[in-house]
Amino acid sequence: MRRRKGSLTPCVTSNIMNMRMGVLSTTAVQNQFSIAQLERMQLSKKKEFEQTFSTSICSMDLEDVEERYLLSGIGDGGLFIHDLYAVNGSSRLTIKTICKIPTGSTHAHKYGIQKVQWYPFDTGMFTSSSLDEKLKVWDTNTLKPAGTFTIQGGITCHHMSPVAVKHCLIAACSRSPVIKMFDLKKGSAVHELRGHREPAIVCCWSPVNEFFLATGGCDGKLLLWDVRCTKTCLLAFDRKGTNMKPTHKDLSRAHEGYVNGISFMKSGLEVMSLGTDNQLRVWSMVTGLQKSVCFNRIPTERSQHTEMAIANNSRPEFIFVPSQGKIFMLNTRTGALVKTLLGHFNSVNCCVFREKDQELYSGGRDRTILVWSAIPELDEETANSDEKCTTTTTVSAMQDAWSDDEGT
Amino acid sequence: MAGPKKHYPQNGKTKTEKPKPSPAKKFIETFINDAKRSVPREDAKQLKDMCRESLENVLEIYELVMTNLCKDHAEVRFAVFVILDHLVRRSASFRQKIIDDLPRVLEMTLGTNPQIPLPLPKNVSQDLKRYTAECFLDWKELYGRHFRQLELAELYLKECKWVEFDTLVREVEVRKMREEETRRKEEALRMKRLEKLREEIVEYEGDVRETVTQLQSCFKLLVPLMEEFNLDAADQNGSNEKGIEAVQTEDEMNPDTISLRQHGIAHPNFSVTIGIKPQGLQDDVKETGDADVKKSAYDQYLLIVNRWLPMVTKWVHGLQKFQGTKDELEVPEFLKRELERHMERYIELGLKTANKHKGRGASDEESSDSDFEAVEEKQGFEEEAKSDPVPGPSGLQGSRTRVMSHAGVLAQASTSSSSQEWTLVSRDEREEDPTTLQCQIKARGGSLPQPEPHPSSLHQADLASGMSSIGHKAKLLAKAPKLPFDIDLYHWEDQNLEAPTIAMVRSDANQIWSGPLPESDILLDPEGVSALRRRTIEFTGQFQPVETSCNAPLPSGKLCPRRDRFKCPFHGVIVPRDSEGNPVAENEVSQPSTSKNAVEPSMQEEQGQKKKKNKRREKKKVSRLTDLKACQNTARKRLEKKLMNRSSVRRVASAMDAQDKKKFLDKFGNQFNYQ
Repeated sequence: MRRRKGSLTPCVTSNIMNMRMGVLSTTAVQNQFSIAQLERMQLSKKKEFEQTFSTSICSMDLEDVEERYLLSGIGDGGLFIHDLYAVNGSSRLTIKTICKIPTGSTHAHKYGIQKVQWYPFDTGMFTSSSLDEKLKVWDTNTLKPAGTFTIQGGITCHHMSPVAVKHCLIAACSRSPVIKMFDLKKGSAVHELRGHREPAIVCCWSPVNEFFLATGGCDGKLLLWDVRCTKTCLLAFDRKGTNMKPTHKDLSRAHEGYVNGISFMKSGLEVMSLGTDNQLRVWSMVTGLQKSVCFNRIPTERSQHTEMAIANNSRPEFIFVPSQGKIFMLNTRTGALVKTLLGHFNSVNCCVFREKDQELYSGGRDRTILVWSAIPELDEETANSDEKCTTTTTVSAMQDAWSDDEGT
Repeated sequence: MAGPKKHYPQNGKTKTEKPKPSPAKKFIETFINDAKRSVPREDAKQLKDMCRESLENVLEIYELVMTNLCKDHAEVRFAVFVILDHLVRRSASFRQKIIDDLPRVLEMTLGTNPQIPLPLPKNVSQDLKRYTAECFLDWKELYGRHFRQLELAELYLKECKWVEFDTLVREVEVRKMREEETRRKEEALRMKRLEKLREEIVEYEGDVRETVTQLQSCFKLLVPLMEEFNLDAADQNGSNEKGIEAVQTEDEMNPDTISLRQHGIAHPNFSVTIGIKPQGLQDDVKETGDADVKKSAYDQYLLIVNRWLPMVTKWVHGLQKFQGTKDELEVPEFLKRELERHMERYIELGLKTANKHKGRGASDEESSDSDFEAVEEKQGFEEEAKSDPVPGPSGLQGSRTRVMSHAGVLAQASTSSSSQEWTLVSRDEREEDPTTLQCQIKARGGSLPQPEPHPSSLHQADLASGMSSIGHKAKLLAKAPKLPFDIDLYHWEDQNLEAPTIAMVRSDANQIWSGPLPESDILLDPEGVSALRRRTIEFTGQFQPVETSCNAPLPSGKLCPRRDRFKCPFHGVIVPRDSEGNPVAENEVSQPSTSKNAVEPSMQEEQGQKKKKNKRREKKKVSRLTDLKACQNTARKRLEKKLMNRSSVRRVASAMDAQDKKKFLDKFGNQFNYQ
């Protein structure tokens, strides 16, 4: 761990004093607070998800409007929506499923879900793609598909631009190297992006520019496209720094193995990519070069796309990267490992960060969605201090218990 | 709980001691080697001391535990998990560490990952699984409120891995019940066997006692008790029939004492010493004629040795094994003691050897009478033959010298063997050996006849007195090698020998009578004349009689009488044994074989190396863990290795392919559309 202790952890009172005196800006203090909280992130003792999943959770998405509804898709084609606001008043909360499309129902996907996404501007619609070659656009109210697109060979990933105003395109990766673009308005495929040599695994729209799309594939390429100009890609990121020369686009490689995770910074100036060469890399959208941030080795074996989450409410931002059974919390500026989140019993597929409550939701092959909370939770026992016996057991859990009868 | 607040002094002690194996490592290694399944008090204390000393120790133990938990041996994992459980329940920092690493711990102990199955031995891994489940539930109960991971783990195991804790716990109960069942069955079996033994004891006790009584009365008849001795008779005879010798010792043969005695007054200094010769008993048998008594005693003795003693011993062992009561044990033990006492008495009295001889005596005597007798050697003939040597054929000089050179080899052998010529009374035989003549003679009270002077030497002496020149010759001749008569001597004088021929006989079952053989069927011996002039003397070395017998105890109570050189076909390699047939430890017996002593220094180095190797091996064997390699080294595995290896499979496959192809070509090869 290369974490420099004390450099980020502020002294709360002195910060508040400084803010009052006008030395520090309120945003800075806020930032300090959130960093301090994130560093203390741990498994939530109060919130848990209802055990309704029959297989591994493959994809999750939190809607941007209210950050209230969590959409999740599982390995056998089922879809679930959880309401994160449903507070029942007790200290311990079990988050319930509010609606689901069960496996095997008429409209459900036949095979495992690969990606789910809310419609960025409204919770009335969401999209899901699966290996059964279907990309479905669902009406949330009726829980029936409003439209279905098909690509031969199964869809591995799809994405819709979160900021698009001028178009209504869904980019979809399939088992072929070609990335297809579906237009929701027309209800059919309108474009094809040809640039990968091998199947693309992951695609992601820029959160700032509505026409920019980044895609990664099995050939180790990380390509940036301008969808207005589909003749060739805009950029091919290369870890050796030869990306700017258009002649070398074919040769450039972002990773040694597959590229299986792409995530944009909120500013849209940087893009993070995760590869099966166990590396996480940061690329500058301006220069097209790799940023000199050195991350630890992140073991990953998945040949499917992995959903990383970025905590955007702090500077520097923290990124949560699923790696087998763990989730690494990394500093995107220094590359330092801030914390390792341990709790899953099998590999983690996806994670979603919720800024409002500073909470992380992670789903994996152990059929659970875990809630990680950065805001310190008051212990149930401490709250109800009447129960003294339980208090003693809790205390004993944190203390040594060497019995004296073993001799000293 | 009562322990003080954790306080870990940060000392650099562990860092300085790093090159040596740390106490924690040593402790865990020994613990694993002993394959323990619980933490005994002393170990608990040691662990406690180590963990309390510093946090570094706890971390080190954690590392060691985790590395050992991944080893491919169920017993190792079990032992390590026992430590792990012990520490989880006590040390907070250790607990935290383990709970962070819970997936791995469960993978290694419950086998949750199908890609990493639990290691062998299987029964231990099953036990480990159960034990882990129990412990895990305990942990959850104790610390579940604080560590959410424990709850999650339970959920995960139940939902995803279908680990049924209830079943596992129930399984423990079922296993206990099953153990109880087997115990009960064993108990029943024990009682049954005990009952059988009791019946047998009741049935045969009388017989045993009867035999003992019979033998006792035989002894009484053979050796009267002290009270029955007639001391007066002994005095008169000097040495009486019963082998009792009375020796008169008179300190001073004063005329006074004689005078006193003449007056019938016993002298105070007069004493009589009576010595009893134990071997004297055998001599009397013939004279007193109580052979029948001895015969009967011998029969009883045999009965005891062959039947009653093994039976009684079996009773004693059986009763001890099946936990018979003390009262029950008393009878067979008493009987055993009695039998042994009587057997000892029998042997003490020398009746055993006496009877043996008696048993074999008759046939032995006959055979020794009819067997070869020492006959004077035919010295004269040889002398005559050599004193008048025929000049050998001139052409055969070469072959003759060769014969002589062979004879030279023989000379050594014959000179050495001439001193060991066979006689009835061999000097090599020992008196102790009951099979030798000396012993037989001695047993009959005779004395060994003095070996007669060698006939040849007598003869020589006579000659020497006659003529000195011939005497000298005779002396030389005595030294000269002697060859038995053979084909070369037969043809000695034939000057012009014809080469021998070989007749080729064509056996024809239909034609028994056939005419003279055709010329072509008579072949000359390829060796020619030399075949008749040559003599081959095979020198096989000197015969050395075997001196020791196998002496392994036989079921009949006797010792194995086989005399083999190195290995008895029934009892294996012959080792020195004591009088009861138990092998004597090697180092106690001095090894008299000179050849071994001579070779020893040269072998010293090799031996040293071997010893070192042995030491290392022994050190390894101290571990109580099951040897997995040995377990897996089954006949099936070995065969599999041979049969299923790549090259052999390929070979077989190609052979079968070739066969198929041939079959196909045979059928369809001539059809154009199949080609």
